[in-house]
Amino acid sequence: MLELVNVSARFGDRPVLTDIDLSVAEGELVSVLGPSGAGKTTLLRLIAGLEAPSGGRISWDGRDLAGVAVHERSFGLMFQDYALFPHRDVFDNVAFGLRMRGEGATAGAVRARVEEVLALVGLPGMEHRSVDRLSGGEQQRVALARAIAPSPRLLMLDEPLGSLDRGLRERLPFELRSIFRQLGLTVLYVTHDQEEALGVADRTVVLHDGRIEADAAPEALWLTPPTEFVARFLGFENICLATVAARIATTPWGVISVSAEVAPGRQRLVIHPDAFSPDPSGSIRGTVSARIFRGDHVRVRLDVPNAPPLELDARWVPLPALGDALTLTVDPAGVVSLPEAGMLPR
Amino acid sequence: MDGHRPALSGRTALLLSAAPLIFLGVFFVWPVASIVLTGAVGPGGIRSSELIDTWLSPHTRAVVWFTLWQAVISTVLTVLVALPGAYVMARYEFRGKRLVRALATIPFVLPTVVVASAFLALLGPRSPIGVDLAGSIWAILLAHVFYNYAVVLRLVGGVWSRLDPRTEEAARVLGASRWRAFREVTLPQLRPAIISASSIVFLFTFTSFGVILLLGGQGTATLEVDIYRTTAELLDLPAAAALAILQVVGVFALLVLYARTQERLAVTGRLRAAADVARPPSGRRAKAIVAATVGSMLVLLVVPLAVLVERSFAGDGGYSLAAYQGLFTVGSQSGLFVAPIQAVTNSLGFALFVMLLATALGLLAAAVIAYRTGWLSRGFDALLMLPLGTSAVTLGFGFIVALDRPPIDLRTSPLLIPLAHTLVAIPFVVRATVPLIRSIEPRLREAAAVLGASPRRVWREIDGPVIVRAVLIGSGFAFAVSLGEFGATLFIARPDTPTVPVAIYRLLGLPGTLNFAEAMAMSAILMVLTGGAILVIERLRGNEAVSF
Repeated sequence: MLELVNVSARFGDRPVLTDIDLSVAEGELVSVLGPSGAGKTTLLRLIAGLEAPSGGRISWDGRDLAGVAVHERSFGLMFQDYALFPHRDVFDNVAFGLRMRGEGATAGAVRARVEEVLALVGLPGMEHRSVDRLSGGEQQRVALARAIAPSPRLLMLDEPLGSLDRGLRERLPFELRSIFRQLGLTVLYVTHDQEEALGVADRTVVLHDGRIEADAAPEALWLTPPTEFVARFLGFENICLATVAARIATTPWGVISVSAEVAPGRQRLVIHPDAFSPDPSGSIRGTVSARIFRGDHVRVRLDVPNAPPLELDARWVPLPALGDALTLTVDPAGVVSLPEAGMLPR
Repeated sequence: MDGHRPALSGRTALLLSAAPLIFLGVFFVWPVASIVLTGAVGPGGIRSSELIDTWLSPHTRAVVWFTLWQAVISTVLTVLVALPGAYVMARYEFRGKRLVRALATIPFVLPTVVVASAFLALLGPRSPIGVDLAGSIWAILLAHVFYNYAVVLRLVGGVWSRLDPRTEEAARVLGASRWRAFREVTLPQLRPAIISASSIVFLFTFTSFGVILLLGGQGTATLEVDIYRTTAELLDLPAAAALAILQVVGVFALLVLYARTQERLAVTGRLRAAADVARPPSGRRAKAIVAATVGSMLVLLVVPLAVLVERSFAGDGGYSLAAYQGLFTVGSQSGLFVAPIQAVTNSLGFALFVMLLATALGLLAAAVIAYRTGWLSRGFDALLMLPLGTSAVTLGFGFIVALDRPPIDLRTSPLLIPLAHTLVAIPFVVRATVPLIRSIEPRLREAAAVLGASPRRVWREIDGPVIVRAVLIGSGFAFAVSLGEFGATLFIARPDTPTVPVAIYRLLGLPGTLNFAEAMAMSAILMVLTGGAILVIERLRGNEAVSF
């Protein structure tokens, strides 16, 4: 089990990570989500031992890793843009870690393991291709194969899908998840893409300016984002200050009912974009000022007089058209309040 | 962020740099200092009035003037002639492009003596086309363009091929004519490369020796040639030393100026990979441009060398192998004391020695430069480049005045020539290897470490293969440099141990068709030997850019 207690890092005077507390249990799949510059890559480099923390303690199964050199940690790291060895072919790239770790391993065993891993990542028979002749997706798979071949006790991935095109980015999380599960790997997965982060992991940690802003299961994060930053980063735009009394909230957009979970008083509320539905007796009235077609729904920007515009997903027919006047009601289940302070209770 | 670049401790760095430093001290600093002493200090103390007399004499002023203007015109001509080639190579993809690029590079790596011989064959008294320009400025200018074409082609073409063509397209869409778009968008982006290439060509032509000695007449002497004549023909060492001081100061001023402009002209603009940019020519206009440019490139670059080979077979009674057979005999009226073929054996022996010594010393230095950062690395780097900047003739002259009497008396030693060659070759070895070692991405070392490689193992697995390649490339350069070195060798070669370039020079000074053909034959042999070494280097280098 990986454990970070109070870990900080700085480059010169600039703090990059501050007071990070994080644990990853064996077999757990944790994603780290944050905008660029949040310190995600540095976090992985600290754990790998490529950088030293300026404070705090990083340990594995209770043993402090401070004195353990990079090559003795038995972790795997898949670099952003892969860092494949250009002077070696696919086989030599994948076999590298096996040769380093298993001094006693026979050539036959190495060969068998390389073949096995390449088959697992979907590149059977590619052993003797030169790595600079591979497509982006193939390089990504070789990098993954190289990282998992020595069976690392912790696998870290830094934006593994970052430089791939959209089609692959949507398909690969399925494959990755099934490979991680199949091998029972402990995984720390870094990305700036919220769909990827929530989709691939059992638990998601949100990093913001070098601090952990949230640490929760993907569903919980999505349904009840703990802070305004997390809510906005997940794509929620409808955030407001409201007065709540007796399960009724007075918002700039209108008066809506809320669930019992929302405490009375002044509250910061988030309204999910798909919580809206047409209702002639609804309290929210506005005009469609922009719309984006997204296949199964239409993302609508609704101009409401004397209030910021709302963003909502219309799944009803007929689809709203530009200039339509809508009267809407809000499903109380889609309204959550943000805790005042940053952290979600753990 | 650079935690895994293996760093050398200060003590190890000092230990590694000791041998190259001592070598440089004894065989470079001491000879140059001796020149200054010879020129500036006489029996009566500082010879300031004699120095100033030499520098201000009408003769010296004429020489300096000629040196400057021929260098300026050569540079401008070279840039003008090579720019269309750079454009075509950068922007168009066509069959045989690799071959054309390789052919275009050959002249630059050929020994100056071979280039001079080729132009003597083409435009000399025995010209097959009946044009005799020998002794005139035209032959010199043409040879300089031929020789330096590749510098402009590769430096400017290299940057051009990585310029995003969409900037020019954007200008066209915004209403700029073809010429306007070139002048206002592309040219400014190329300017640093053009200035940098021009500076190098200027330096090369400013210190031109072999071409001018062989092709020029009495009125056409650069400082280099004048230093040689003052020493070898007039035997006036103090005057030659005064000229050499002038030359050293001039070259260093140029180098400082060059370094300054390089710093100011950091290339801006978005660069893309070359592969994205080049397209097959489409349309009649583009095809005509490509065909015309490549055609004239081939004429300029191939014809002189072809005529050189042709002349080596041409005797009084038609074509024969007489010249090549003649190389094996000590001719009756030959100015050489040995059979010319002996020069080939000498040159190969020297080149092997230089290859070993220069590679060993150069690698020690390269390791310090590549693995250390800070002033030690930069200062060492600059120090090692000095012999390259100092002219060959000055080096040879320095060897004569410094190393022919105790404490170091190598006058009769057969080592004198290879030691001088090693001095000239070390900068090439360092230039070829440092960028290679530096090009290893730190992340590859990190990736290896995460995969379980210990620091020693990382060095062996990641740096090792690159260093092996660097050693091979460095030795190739050392070998080629030694084969072609002329200026310094001419000073120090004894009559009974000529190298190939020296033998060619001596043969050209003798009358008769056979001697001329023998000189051409020797040049052809030298061309093949050097070309072979360069081919091996190019294969090993792959697509890395040239650096000077």
